Amino acid sequence: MQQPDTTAVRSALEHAGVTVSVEEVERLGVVCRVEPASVRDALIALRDWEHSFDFQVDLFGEDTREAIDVVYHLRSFSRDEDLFVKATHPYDSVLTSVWDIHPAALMPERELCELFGLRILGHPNPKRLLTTDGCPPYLRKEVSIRTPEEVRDRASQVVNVAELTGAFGSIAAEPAPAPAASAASAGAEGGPAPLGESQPLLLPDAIKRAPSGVDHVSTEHLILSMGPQHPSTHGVLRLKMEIDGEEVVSTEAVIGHLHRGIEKLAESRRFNAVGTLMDRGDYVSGIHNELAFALATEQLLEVDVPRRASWLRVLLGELNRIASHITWYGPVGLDTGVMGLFLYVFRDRESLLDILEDITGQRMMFNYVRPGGVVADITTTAEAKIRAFLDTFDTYMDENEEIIMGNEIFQARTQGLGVLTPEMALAFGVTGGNLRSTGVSWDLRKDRPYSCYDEFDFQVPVAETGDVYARCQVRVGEMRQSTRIIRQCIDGLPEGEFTAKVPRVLRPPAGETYAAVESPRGELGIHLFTDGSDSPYRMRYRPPAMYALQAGETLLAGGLIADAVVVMGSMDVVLGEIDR
Amino acid sequence: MNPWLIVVLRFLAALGLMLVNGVVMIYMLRKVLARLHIRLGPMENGPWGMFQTVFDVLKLFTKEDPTPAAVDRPLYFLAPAVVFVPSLMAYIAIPFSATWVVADLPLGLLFVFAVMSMIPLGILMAGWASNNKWSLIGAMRAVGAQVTYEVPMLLAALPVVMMAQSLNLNDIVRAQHSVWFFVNVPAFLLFLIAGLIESGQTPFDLAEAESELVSGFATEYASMKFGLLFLSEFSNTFIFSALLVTLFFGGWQLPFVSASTLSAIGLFPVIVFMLKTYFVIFLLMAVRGTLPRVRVDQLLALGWKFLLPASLAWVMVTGLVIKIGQTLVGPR
Repeated sequence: MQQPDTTAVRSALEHAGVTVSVEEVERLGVVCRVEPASVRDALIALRDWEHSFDFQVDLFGEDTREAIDVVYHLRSFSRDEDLFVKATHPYDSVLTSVWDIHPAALMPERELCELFGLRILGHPNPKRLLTTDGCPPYLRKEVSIRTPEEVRDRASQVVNVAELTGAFGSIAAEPAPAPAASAASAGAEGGPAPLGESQPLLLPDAIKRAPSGVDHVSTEHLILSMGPQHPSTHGVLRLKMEIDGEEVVSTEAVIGHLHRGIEKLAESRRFNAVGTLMDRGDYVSGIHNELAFALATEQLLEVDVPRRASWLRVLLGELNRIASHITWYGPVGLDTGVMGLFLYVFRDRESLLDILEDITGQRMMFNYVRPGGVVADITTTAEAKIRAFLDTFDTYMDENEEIIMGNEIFQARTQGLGVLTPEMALAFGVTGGNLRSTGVSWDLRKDRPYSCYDEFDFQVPVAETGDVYARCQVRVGEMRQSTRIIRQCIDGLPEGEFTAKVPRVLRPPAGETYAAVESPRGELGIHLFTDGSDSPYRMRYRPPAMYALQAGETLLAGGLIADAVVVMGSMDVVLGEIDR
Repeated sequence: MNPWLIVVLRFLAALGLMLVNGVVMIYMLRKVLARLHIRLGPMENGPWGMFQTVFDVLKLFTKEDPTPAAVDRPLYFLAPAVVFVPSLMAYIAIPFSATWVVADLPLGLLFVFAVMSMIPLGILMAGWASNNKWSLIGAMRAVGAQVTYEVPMLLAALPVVMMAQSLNLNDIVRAQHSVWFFVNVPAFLLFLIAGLIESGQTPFDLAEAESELVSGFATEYASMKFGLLFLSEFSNTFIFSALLVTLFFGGWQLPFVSASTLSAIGLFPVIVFMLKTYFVIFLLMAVRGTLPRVRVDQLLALGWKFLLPASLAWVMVTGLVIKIGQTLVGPR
């Protein structure tokens, strides 16, 4: 990774008529500060510039105690550079949506506005994302977490919901885009307007597609609420679908059922206690979450992690990657009706969790990777178990692949289904296996190696077609590559300490940094702000699955209900991570 | 004996057989699927968990029966019966041996098809009356699939009728004394595919695809009403397997053993018939535990674009072959 040239960035932005101050922030990178009014111009200029910062990694806010800093994290894949655009908004002001420049902003903008008390203008779906009406904008510093006593007190009071909703209601700014306009455009597309109690779903017109085979017969569309208790929505995802017979006309993902406010909770914890929260984010791949946070803290502390600790992180990370991919692989079978596969892969997952338990003492909530190193060394029994696992896993993988990937019915159902184009994937901020299935080879382990990944010999599986089948191929390939890395790990584990000497209470200097790891779901980033105290000032958790969900939402239109289940399953969304 | 008493006894025998079949098949399904899925299945109640299904049925009988407020009550209560009764009626014509048949109908095969085609009506009633979107979609799928596959299934059975020159199921069995009609392989395959879909087994269990439609048309049903829907589904599988055995695998006969010898050994033909039928059921369960589910448009396309023309064509081919055979050898 390189740093962008500050003078070039400044001249490019000033050429577009944007007043900007460009500075290089230590441990973070190049930051452009622009006025809120000229954010859109700046983003367009950077996107259309020859350095093409056309990928929006993330969008989030920070309360500086004086105003809200909105951070747009951009990336240029062609030059492998990252750039941060910051705009300072006063409290309770209006944020102008940038979703038409970077569709990836669709969900993050909603989240930002509800959690910081901003109002949003120009957004196609200006609704709350994670919280309900009545929830205060809790990421502001003035809102503090309730103590247990306060919670108990409040339980005895009668809460006037209407009062609360009045105080913290809709995030839509005036003039709000009227729902009528959306309905009219739906009618203009030739599809019959929904009737009765079913309000039209507020999807961007650009995303909303007419169903294939519109027949101009006015039939009533149904609004089908799939989830959060549906058998196959992979957690507590709720898909609100407008359907015409069995055909999906438009979809809206309703999330937030598992929202715990991890970003806020992290602000009240010491640095070495945040790991437990991270485990509960993406609960299927805890090691990667912990690792991202540990890397960010280490960057600020400037500690050198011992080589053995890095290797152990890689080893556990890859074991966890297989365990996570397996938890995706089996349900893909369930979604298509192959119940056997689910139970076959859980045989492997059982032995993986056994290994992880042996080393970390936990089966899922590891809290194993801490700033400075890891908690415990590998045990001899674990090593034997890993070798035994590797002996059988490859044969089991061959069998599983034959059962599902080689099956004609499965192929007929998944090939050409839910096709994600590379342009679309990049526009929606999709990373990880979903991006690689479209032919874009981008893997942080190879392209921005962290934690000694450059010392290992492995390949990055890439598929071309971007359909459900390609996503399966990529993830199956990744599992095979992971076994290669694990083999190298246990054969050549270097001697040494498993943790660096770090103080008991960590106090990183005030600063800001971004660390990302390639989690099974994509780029899991931690953007960490510190103020010199023993707990983070603000922690932003970039959930890769949320970006996959945004893209997945748009893939369902035109397909059948049966396809919707399979496409959503193939995107590998984990709601613990999306809702945080 | 009073002829009415005989009728009642025969009916009760059919009902008892259906219930016992249901219990045995559910247990068998659990064990077969468990075996395929590297798990154990029921193990606690009785040896190898044998009484688990019995207890489950008792549970269904004693369970509270909640009725959702928004259902269309008359239809909602009637639907399980409309699904269950045809399934029970179909038992009447199945010949378990030369003499063990509730009613030896001259048009037995036609009768079975006729009553079985009532089932989609009940399913549609259940789906509509439940006032639930999943139920409705499931019911529409079930009806779509069953209507599509009725015709090919009947057409696939026609070659057998032409070969046996009778619609009486016992006559069809006797006609296979020298060679089983399995030799008519295309007719057998067409019948198998159509029947798989008709009985709603994976890979064609679209009507209650639990990963898509929660539980399909049975979503809103509980207690013994659900039990009836569930039971009739297993009963349909049994009837389909029994028909398959009757039409293509010589029914209660064994190869190289004459019918009179077999009948002399009392219950032996019945046992032969049941073993054959349960073997077919076992194969269906193995398919169910292995294959993915097809999509509804693929299913309908297969039915209308391939199975229907193919079965029509095969009826013609079989007719021609029989005619040519008769002209060469002379009428039988």
